[in-house]
Amino acid sequence: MTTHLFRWGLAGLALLLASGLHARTPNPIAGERIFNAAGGCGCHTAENGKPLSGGRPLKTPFGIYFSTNITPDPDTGIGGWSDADLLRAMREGIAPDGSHYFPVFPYTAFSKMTAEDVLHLKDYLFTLPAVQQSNRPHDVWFPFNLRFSAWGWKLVNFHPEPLLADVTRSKQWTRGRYLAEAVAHCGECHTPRNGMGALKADWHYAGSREGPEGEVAPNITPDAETGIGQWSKDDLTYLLETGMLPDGDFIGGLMSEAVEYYGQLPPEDRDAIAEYVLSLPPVQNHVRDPDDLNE
Amino acid sequence: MKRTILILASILLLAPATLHADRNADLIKYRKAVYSSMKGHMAAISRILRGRLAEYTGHIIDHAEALKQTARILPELFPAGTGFGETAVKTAAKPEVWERPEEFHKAAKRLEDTSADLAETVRSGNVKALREKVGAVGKACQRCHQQFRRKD
Ligand code: HEC
Ligand code: HEC
Repeated sequence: MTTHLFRWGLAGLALLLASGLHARTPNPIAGERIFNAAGGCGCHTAENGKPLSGGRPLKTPFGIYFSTNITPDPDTGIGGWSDADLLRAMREGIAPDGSHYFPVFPYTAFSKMTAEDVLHLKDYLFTLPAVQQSNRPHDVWFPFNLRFSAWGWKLVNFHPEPLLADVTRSKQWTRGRYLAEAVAHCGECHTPRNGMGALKADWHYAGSREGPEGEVAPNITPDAETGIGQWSKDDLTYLLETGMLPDGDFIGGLMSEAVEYYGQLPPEDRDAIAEYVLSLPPVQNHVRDPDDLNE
Repeated sequence: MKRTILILASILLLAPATLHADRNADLIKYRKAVYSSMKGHMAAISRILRGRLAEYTGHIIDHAEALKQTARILPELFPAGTGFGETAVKTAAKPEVWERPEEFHKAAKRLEDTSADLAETVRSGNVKALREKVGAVGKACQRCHQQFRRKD
């Protein structure tokens, strides 16, 4: 704990010095909460790789993308990035060199984050160990391998809209919507995509057969038959805390990695996410092949 | 005639192998039933923990003891020939189970220890620590799955 604080203190000092005139007070503690809500940015950690140093293969119908190094290494990571660089990357999908990111990096969700939270997240990431590891080129088919195709994709599919206030909803629901939609990006895995790889708006959280790494991500709308309509709010909160399903089995795959971080959130954040998810319109959609079930 | 002999001979030769595969298929079914029983105990524990069932807290000892006993037999449930594609029955066990037996034993031992600890915690009446101890058992399940159980 003390070493943690010490590390943060040092990093904070370094940030203050580096940012010079534009000094803002770094807040890595708030940033850690955002980091946990984002599932520990787990896509950026490869199996047997150093945390957040990238290189994890993300299988999509367009080929394999490799996640990037987001440790504070100045040469191969994001150590040289300014506040504005990270804001532009997360909220506009534009790299510091001006090129456009492929939507496999979920800026479509992160564009809904507040600038404050993005910067806190940066403060936290900059307290973590730097790892020198160059990014691996993506392995995707033509024409998706061309950077300008990312630009074209955005032109058609990326229309960032902030989350509008809904006065009919509770504060808890509003917090839950923000965490789920902007930060935890549940929909990036649980919402099916169209032929262009864009999320299908009418099928929000209705499950996808082609989640990241080719996994099935189940229907988590409150549909009683094909979704989680039979779950209580506490069932969902407990899953987010521990990874345990109501039947006593445990979730696997990428979700279980994310839960290690959701489990470190303050309980009120998990409650808020559950409140929001269970308030969504139920969508009937079978994604699990009954044959594929273990039972 | 020659063909009949050939067929007879091959039946005689192949029968033991087939029987063996059948036995291994039975074993996989047994193994899955064992895991399902563990899932039942986990669900029962969490129902007591999360429900308005405080007077049943003592039952957690029984479920935790059952998990502890079951953890001890887990390593016996993976003899050679019971991997994916080796019988007609599907299995989610990864090849790592057979490639890294010491680590698999360690993972089973971890379940044994965390379950024993949970039972002990209830016995000592330390209700405050319950949620955390149940969480530790769950982590033991999950860690082993991350390493040794394929997601399908
Ligand atoms: C990185 C991809 C990913 C993200 C992000 C993600 N999930 Fe999942 N989720 C999965 C996968 C894959 C499974 C299936 C795991 C399994 O079958 O073992 C799953 C399973 C679940 C389940 C279990 C459903 C069932 O019927 O078994 C729930 C509930 C759930 N997720 C909710 C959420 C919520 C809420 C969020 C956001 C806070 C979220 N997930 C974020 C991939 C993801
Ligand atoms: C030592 C490793 C290990 C531990 C510990 C472990 N599991 Fe498993 N589990 C496995 C493996 C391997 C499989 C795949 C078995 C197969 O398909 O042949 C499995 C499969 C399962 C299944 C699916 C069974 C089926 O019908 O296909 C369930 C449910 C399950 N485990 C629950 C649990 C629970 C609950 C715990 C903790 C109380 C737990 N496991 C602890 C390794 C483990």
